[in-house]
Amino acid sequence: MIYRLVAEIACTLMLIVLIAAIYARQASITSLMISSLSVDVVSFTSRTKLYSSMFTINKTWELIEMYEDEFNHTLGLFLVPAFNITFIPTATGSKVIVRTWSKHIIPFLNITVLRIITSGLTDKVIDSTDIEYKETETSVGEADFSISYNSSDIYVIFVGLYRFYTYTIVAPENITRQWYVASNTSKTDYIEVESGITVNRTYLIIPHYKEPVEANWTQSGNRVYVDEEPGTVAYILTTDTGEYFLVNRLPIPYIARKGSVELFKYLICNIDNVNYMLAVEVRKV
Amino acid sequence: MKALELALIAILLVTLYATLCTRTLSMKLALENDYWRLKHEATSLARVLADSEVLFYLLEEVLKDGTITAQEREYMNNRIRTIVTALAPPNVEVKVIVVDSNYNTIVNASTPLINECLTAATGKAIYTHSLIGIFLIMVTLGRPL
Amino acid sequence: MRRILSRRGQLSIITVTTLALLTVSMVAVIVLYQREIYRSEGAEAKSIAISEVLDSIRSDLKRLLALVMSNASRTYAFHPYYHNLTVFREDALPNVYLWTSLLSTKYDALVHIEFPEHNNITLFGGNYTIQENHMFKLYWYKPVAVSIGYVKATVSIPKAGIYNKTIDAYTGLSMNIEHFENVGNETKIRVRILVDEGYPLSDFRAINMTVLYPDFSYYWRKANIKDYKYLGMGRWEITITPQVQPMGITSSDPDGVIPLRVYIVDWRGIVASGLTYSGVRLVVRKNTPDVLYYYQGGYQTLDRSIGGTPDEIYTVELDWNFSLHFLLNEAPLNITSPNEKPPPIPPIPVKQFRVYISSDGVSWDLCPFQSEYWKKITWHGHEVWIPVSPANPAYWFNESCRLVFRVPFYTTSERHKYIEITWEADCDADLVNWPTSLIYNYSPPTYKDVISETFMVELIDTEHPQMRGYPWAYNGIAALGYRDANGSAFGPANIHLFGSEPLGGGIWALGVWRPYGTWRVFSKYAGPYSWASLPVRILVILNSTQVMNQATGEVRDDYYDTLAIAYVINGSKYMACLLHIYWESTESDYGAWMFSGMGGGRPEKFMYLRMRATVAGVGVVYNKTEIRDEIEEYSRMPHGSHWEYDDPNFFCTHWGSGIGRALLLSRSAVNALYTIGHQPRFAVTKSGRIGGAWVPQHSLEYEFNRLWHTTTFHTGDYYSYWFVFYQYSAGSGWNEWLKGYKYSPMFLEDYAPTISLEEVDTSW
Repeated sequence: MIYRLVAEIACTLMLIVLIAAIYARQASITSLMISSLSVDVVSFTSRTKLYSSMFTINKTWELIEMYEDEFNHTLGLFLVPAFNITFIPTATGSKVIVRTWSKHIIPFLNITVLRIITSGLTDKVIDSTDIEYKETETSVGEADFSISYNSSDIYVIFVGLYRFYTYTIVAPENITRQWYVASNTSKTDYIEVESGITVNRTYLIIPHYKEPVEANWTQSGNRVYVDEEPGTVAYILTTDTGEYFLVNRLPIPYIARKGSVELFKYLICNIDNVNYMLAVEVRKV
Repeated sequence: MKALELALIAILLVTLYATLCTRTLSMKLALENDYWRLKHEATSLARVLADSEVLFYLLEEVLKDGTITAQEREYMNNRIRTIVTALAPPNVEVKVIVVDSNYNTIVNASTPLINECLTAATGKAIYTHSLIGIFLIMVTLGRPL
Repeated sequence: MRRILSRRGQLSIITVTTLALLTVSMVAVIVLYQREIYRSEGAEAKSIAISEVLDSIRSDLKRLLALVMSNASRTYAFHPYYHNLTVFREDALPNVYLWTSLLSTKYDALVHIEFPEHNNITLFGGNYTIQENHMFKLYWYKPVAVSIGYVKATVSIPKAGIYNKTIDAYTGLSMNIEHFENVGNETKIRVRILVDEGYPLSDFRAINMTVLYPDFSYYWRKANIKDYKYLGMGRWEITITPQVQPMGITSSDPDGVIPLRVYIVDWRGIVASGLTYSGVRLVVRKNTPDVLYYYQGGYQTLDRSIGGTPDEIYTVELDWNFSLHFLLNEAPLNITSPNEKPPPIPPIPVKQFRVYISSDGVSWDLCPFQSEYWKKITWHGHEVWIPVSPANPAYWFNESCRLVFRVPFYTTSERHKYIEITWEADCDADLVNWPTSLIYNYSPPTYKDVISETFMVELIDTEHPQMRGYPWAYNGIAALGYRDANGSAFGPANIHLFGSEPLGGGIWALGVWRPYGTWRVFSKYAGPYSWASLPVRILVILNSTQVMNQATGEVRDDYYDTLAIAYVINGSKYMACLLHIYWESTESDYGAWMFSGMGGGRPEKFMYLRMRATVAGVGVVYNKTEIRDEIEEYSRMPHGSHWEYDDPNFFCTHWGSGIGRALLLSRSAVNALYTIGHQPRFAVTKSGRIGGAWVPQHSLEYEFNRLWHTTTFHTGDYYSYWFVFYQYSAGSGWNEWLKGYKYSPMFLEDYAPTISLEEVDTSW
């Protein structure tokens, strides 16, 4: 009996050791690569190609689309300009405050502000009286401008750190439209306007340039095809009826900031050989 | 009776095995998650530093005459640390190493707690400057304890 | 029984359990691996991660190419003589190797870089090619300027299982100067700038533009860029001050072209340099008459159209002001107003220049040319142009350069020729190595010969003191020893002789004081182009303050200074020698020659052109003088005789034994003969005596004065002139001299060719 008991205990112990050894071997040879099905963030990242840093306009729209279609319950998404740019009115005009998304100050920046007075869009071509443009350099992350703030005007703020360019557009919500339809090449993208709208002029907003550029365009039905310039980030369309609209070419800012941060990275958005930097955060709900 | 006993032992052993597996693998996944995230963020930051040429405006002044004094090096490291820390994601430790084509370390700037990080990942980007040469940028991001 | 069975049962279960667990764990590992590696999302995840690495490598491959192109283009644009792009390409290879080795050690990526051929790069409607192994090309200096590069790389990352992924990179900067006009007191230029493979440049802050314009003294000044405006698609309108005046005439605009040099440097340091014009078209007119007159028992005409004028070839020099230099003539560009002055020949490497010639302005032929450096010096108070050296073709064209080329007029009906000075856009374009029949044989002391198709000249001087086969040694006197094409000697020709020396026994040596020195010869280009022979002419220069007494060997530097510039021209039958003589002190003596050339005893007959009405001789009709001919034979002269003839003019010749040799003087030479000499003479010498034997000479000579009359040269006497030696084939007939006379007006100042502007070319 005793021998049998001892034998049985020994067997059990050996079995445990054997299993432990098998386990140790398995654990040691398993690679560190993650199966894409196991984690949502990884799955989202690989399917939207967020692995790359270089993005085209089309890919940013696909990113938003993929998020909204499949991941908006389990993840949060934050797609914004690379810096946190705030534009506020002051007593003497306006002020631009630039911080990184980790709340730091960048020690050297080039900031320009372009103001497009929208009342000049209604019935004529934009001229120098409808534009105000100022540029400055700052080492404290903020700068004052003598451009006054009017909530019905469009402001394009460009921020550059050497060749790290980013921008933001401040415009009234009632004229902003998400009409842009991206495609793989800039030759076949277009703006889909509401039916009944006839465009009579288009302007391109190119953040690093001092004024909007009038562009050539054609309209067939609801589709407006515009000849873009490299670096065009938005369009201003004016119509025969005196209305005007701002159409963004990039889906920024996109703010579905819920959950905790899983990934924060920069994207280099290549718009026909001109690079603008964006920041993207993927969050887990 | 014996059969039951043996069955019980078998189930016990399997359960023990499965529990051990799950626990360790989960931990590994957690660690791997962190590593994976830091790797992507570091690569993206290195790439952005290269393409925006930010570092090289700082280096150009110093490297134009070919040699760097200790004082210039200190100043440069401080400035680079400031910029890279500002651009890095929140709550990470940062280390930047820039190596030239002769494998000399030109820049070695880091935040104080980088060596105490549990997990760290390095992203690399190669950068060629038309005046001062070819460099490799290595950005290490670390998650502190 | 049951116990044994149950024990066996236990063992079986244990065994089965263990084996099952082992199998399960192995299967789990395998399945896990399968999912990691072979599931499509896993593979995609890996390939996407790799695509980030490849993308990063491609991004820097462009920068690597930019590094190479910026070094090369900046140096080519701004350095005065480093203009060999092949050297830059070779110098770039170490950078490429450093880059690939940095990638392999630090990135674990094996990169192999190639420079394949890439053609059909279309920019601004034109096609550009990068040849294999060239890496980059620069097409500049026209209204379209293109700097373009292309590389291909094969990347392998073995640890990730990626092999031979190909990536390529295009880098470049291109500019088209589309339009320019003056508005108000400013000039507006519209340029279109493209980056890399054709992306319009919309960020003006990314480039640095400089605009230069010339003033009327052809000094290039920097214009001030007042404003810029973006017109879309890479088009920029730049406003500059001051307003730049148009120059020249174009086919579309009689006011001409606004001459501007525009160069842009982008943020990477790549340069593109353009010009608003691409060439200057000129007209060279000949002014020689179609009919010459002479008196031979009555007025006779020589119709030059008979037999054509195959030897009427002008070797002209064009300087940067477009003045035409021929011999010592300087004919400035014929323009009616200052604005008609064409824009300057731009400062670009000479090797890129091309000269085209046309009779009708429609069909053009590439014309050989050479570039020489000339400078104006003050030589004893007189401004004199002297050649310094052949130009270095790698160097920029500048105000010291002259383009030298031949303008032929083979028939009398051809009154003008069109010349286009233009340049290649391809900065790899090299000097055209034209074939030449001119040879310089230099192995002193025996050989210092310039050899052309029709004659040979031995350069007798301090290095080559004795003409081969000639009994008298010259011991350093500078002279020209003529031989015909198969080497038979005519003997030395002395370019200036003065004074006499008694040798004893009533014998005098005459014309003893002759220039002493060394001829400098330029037969090839300088510097890195010493492999290229000068295709148009070989220059021979003597600049000496010394003279030597041919009889005693004494050398002095207080008589006269000689500056002689001679050239032997490829494919022509004449040799020209320009002379400047300056007297340091007042000297008087017997025997002063302007020129004395031996004939080696071979010519049979001789004649010379006479001047004045009252004396018998042969003259040109424009003053319709009454003159009679004088043609003689050497055979009628006794040995040792020296016959002098009065009233010399600009032409004399001797001929026979198949060859005729004419000596043509300039009007200034004739003027010097009469001003200084008062009784100048044309003379011939039958023979000279050496060691008891008569050595035949049959010379042609011009003397300032009759032989036994004193000629006085005063301190400060200066005269400059030229003579041309023309060799023609001639039988023994009495009228063979007309073959030489036919070409005589070519070398007179009043018939020198002239130049005017046709138009400025703005095509590209």
